[in-house]
Amino acid sequence: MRKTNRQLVLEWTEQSSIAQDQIQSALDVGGVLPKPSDWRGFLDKLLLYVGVLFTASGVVFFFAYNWDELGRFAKFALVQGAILVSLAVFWRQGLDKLSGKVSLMLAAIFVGVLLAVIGQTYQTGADPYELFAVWCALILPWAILARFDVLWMFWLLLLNLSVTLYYQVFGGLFGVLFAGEQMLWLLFAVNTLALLVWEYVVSRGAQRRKIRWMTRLLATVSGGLVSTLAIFNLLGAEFISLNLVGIAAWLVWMACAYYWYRHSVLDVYVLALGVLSVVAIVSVLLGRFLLDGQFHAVIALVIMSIVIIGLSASGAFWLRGVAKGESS
Amino acid sequence: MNQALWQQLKQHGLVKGEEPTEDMSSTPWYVRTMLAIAGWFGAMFLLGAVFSVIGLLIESALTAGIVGGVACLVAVLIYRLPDHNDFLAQFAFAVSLAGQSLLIFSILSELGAFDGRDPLIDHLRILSMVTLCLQALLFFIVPNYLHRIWSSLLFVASLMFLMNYYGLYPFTQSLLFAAGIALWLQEFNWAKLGSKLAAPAYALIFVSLILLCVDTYLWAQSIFWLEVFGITTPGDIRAEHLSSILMSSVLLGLVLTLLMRAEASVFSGASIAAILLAVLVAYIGLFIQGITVGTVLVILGFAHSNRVLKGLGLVVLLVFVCQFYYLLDLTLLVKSALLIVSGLLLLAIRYLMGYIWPAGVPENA
Repeated sequence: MRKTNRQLVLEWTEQSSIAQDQIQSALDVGGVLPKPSDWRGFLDKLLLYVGVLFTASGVVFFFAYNWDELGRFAKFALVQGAILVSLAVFWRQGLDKLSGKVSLMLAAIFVGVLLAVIGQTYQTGADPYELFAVWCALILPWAILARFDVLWMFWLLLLNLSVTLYYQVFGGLFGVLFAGEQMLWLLFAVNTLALLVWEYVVSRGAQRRKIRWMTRLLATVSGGLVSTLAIFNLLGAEFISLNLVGIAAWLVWMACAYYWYRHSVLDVYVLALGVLSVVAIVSVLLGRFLLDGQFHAVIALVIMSIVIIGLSASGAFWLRGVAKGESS
Repeated sequence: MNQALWQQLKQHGLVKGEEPTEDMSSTPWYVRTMLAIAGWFGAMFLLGAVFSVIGLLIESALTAGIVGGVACLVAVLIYRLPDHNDFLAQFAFAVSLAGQSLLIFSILSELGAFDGRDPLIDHLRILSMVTLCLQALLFFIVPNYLHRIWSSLLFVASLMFLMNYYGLYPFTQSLLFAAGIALWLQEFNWAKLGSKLAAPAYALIFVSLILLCVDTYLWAQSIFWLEVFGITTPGDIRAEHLSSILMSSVLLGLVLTLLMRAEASVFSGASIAAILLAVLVAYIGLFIQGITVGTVLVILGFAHSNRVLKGLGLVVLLVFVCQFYYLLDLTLLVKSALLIVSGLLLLAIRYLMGYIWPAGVPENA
């Protein structure tokens, strides 16, 4: 992990390598403080994002109010008009401009509003998961067309919501008992697939590698889910006849993440996530063995504490080495 | 990258000699987070073991206090070792947390907090005072960033409780937030303080955000403090409005400070536009306080190249627009009108900016 110029200037000032009265000049040389042109670009984006966020939220709130005075045709005309205006702005601005992409995102949000108005007007009796699933399907072509990370993230959020709501309604194929675990498996599959697709896409375009937040968010969700599944397995009632699929999936995930984010595309964040996951799994495994009455509770707790501290400290030592290797 | 910057600074005569060796204690925030989470769990198990032993040996608050004090002392000594490694630092963190818990348990026992005679709020008041003093001491004697973050968080959380308890309730959040922003604005002037400044500055922001979330999400309509602790708002609704105005003034103050820092004339076109925009956002913030808070964090994060603050601000903006849906003061129709008009106004300002302040800034994503 490379340190930013800001971190370096602050660190060197703290170490007295830079005199306190020279820090402003050092910040200027390091390009830490934004220039007027940077401020203009920042304001431009802030106004666009916040303006669109407010407008989209306002439209959602308006239709959620379900105003009786407004006839059904007026409602449809309004929401379809909003979609058309957004698409017209997108058509005018084009895909290369941020405003064009954001307009398409706005249209995608309004599609959901349209579906809600249809449900509200005709009382279709559809379950909420159906609304999100249809919404996902309808805006998929736009997401593919826009190649806009925020829209993809929104799309994936809808898909996750749809899966979660489905399991809330039907409780899974094997009854309520396994519904939670089944849902986690499906969510894990969806988000891991998204991570794989994202990694494939970024491997084909160097510019997009800079968008680290997407990789990290997907890796956090996917890694978090597989760790939870492994913990579920470890805490299963019958330890001997343990269903090892969750643990196997966790091992495969960890091995792949280690190979990819250590040797192929270095990302210390994902490696740190892996270390935390190892600490959690080992702690649960130890707890399962040590706290079953064979050992005195005090001994068990001390062992667990020392193992957690040891593992996390070793992990941090390793991560620092990796980060240092990257920055040198 | 480090070396390139060092050479650049050297060319400008801002540094001399060779680049200093990298400070290994400064690690990325996610490694620190990993260490903190693991440290807390390690401390919990350690504490469980210590409590088991104390429970077996003797049921004495004094013993717990002595063990806690010794544990804290051991942790401080480990941290102050000239050559401590990651394992020792992490072990010291866990020992310190366990020691602090024992020490606080002991002091509260001695003060009769577990007798069940006094109401809960009085126990919490004592707990906050004890925590405040203990963390202030540990903040200065433990030279470790992670531990300073921990001490600062507990110190500010205790301070927050005491401020609410002693009648500052609706203003606590704004005051803590304003203090946090003031500290961040001094970041470069007081760079020599390092973690002694960054830790409390982050803590003030985080605790004020938690307070905002508690007031708006956990118990709607700011009744959390009333329902749980019986703390009422002096001056009722007017005090809450005053608090919102105070928060808005933080935004205006930040914008003015940044304009002064850029040596821009207050009467220049860009300055007037910036102030008017801040007033508009501050007005919206009177209805949704989170919008002002989020905007302040985003602007400050950008001005100081601090990605943590900027990211936090974006999340706050998004979360509090969603929270606006559940606000009961206004109907959904009024809320939608307010949002649509504000949103379109912001987009119109952006459109006009293209003419008033044209620049060769690419609009590409």
